Amino acid sequence: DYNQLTVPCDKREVRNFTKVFLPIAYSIICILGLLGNIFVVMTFALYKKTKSMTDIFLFNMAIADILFVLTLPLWAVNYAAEKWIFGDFICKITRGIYAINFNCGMLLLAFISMDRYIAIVQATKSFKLRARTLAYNRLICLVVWVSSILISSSTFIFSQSYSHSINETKEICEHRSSKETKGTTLKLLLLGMQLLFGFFVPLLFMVFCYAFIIKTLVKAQNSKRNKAMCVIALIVFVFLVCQVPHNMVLLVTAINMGELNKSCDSEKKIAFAKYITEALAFFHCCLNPVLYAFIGVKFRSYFVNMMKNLWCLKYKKYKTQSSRISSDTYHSRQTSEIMSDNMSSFTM
Amino acid sequence: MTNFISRNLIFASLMGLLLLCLSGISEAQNNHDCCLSYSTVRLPRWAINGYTEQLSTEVCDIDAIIFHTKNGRSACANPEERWVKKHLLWLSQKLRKMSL
Repeated sequence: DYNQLTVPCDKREVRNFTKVFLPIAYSIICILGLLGNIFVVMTFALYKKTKSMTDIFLFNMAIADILFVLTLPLWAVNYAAEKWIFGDFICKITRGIYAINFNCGMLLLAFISMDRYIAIVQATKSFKLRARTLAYNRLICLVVWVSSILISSSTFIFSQSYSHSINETKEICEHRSSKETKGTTLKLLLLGMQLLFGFFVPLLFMVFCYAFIIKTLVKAQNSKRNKAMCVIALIVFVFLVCQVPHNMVLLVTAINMGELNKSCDSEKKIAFAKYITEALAFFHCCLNPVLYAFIGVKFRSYFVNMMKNLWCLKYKKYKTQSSRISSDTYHSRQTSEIMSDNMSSFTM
Repeated sequence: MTNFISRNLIFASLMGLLLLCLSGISEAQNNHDCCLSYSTVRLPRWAINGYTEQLSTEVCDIDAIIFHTKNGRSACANPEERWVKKHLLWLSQKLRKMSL
């Protein structure tokens, strides 16, 4: 009696969907992400000579986002072809880079909110603190990147291109650990860590830092304060809209991990939800250049300058004209000036 | 004071980063066919063509044996059950005889 036999859950519907949806979504994210982030990198590299801590974080975030979106074409091909055709080494590298830069981007979001908190809330006390952290900026960036590479090591180790048990002719690029490890426990641990550091930690940093910034701004007598608060609200709102749905799906996955007798229908629904929310979460890195760099008045003026110069090819003439503020002048300025200067990154 | 704060700040970020080292992207693709539960009835030997192994250390979440039947269907079975182990032994013996 074959009706009492349990067959593997057939996810052909999901594959038919991902075959069309993901290549399109990933292509759009890749193009928009490259465009915005390359502009940011070019502006910083060519024109912005005074580099504050925030600038360095923004520069690094743009680099991380560029590397991240560069892996997406490979995934687009993977979903379109319904198999991994690039071999084991590229599988490890791609999943590794993908992990480094996703986590690095999230970490930098947390650091940026902390940097702004120090700049605005601790403005009066922070002359020396800011100067000191500026001196440490190379170290902090090095630490961010080294740790991001370390993060990816677990993904690198546990990624492999292999043939899946149901359809042995097709290679997939996926998680695989040795048979001695407890499969579900390891997966759960990795998933938990991703949720914690890819979502809850940056969220906590942002909520804490931006709440105190808003508290300070409410008290401040500054013409730009309403605009600054709008920008903060926008940053937090976009983070929540992009990241919450995907992380809720991950949370549901983590809760149901390793459970027996899950229904095939609900598995399919979760799969659809996962792919749609994941694309939304990835879209976040296309919005970062707009939210963090182009929203700033100073950055925009540098960018406009650069575009004009590229247009007219009067590159060298303008390069020497761009202002250079040393850290000494930074010290001597008044608190209120520094405060409005710090807020310039928020001003629309 | 500020020295103290900045030193603590750097220490705290280093600790955070250290914890971060344990993290990584683990999530599996969700578009692969997997066994989610086990068959409740025994499969007769004569119906079985062969089998493949589903490992929880790979893309699917549970360990399972997938028997391929002669009429081209697949059936999920619990690798811990006695009859499944016996069938596997029988299949491997059959395979050894064929290779001799």
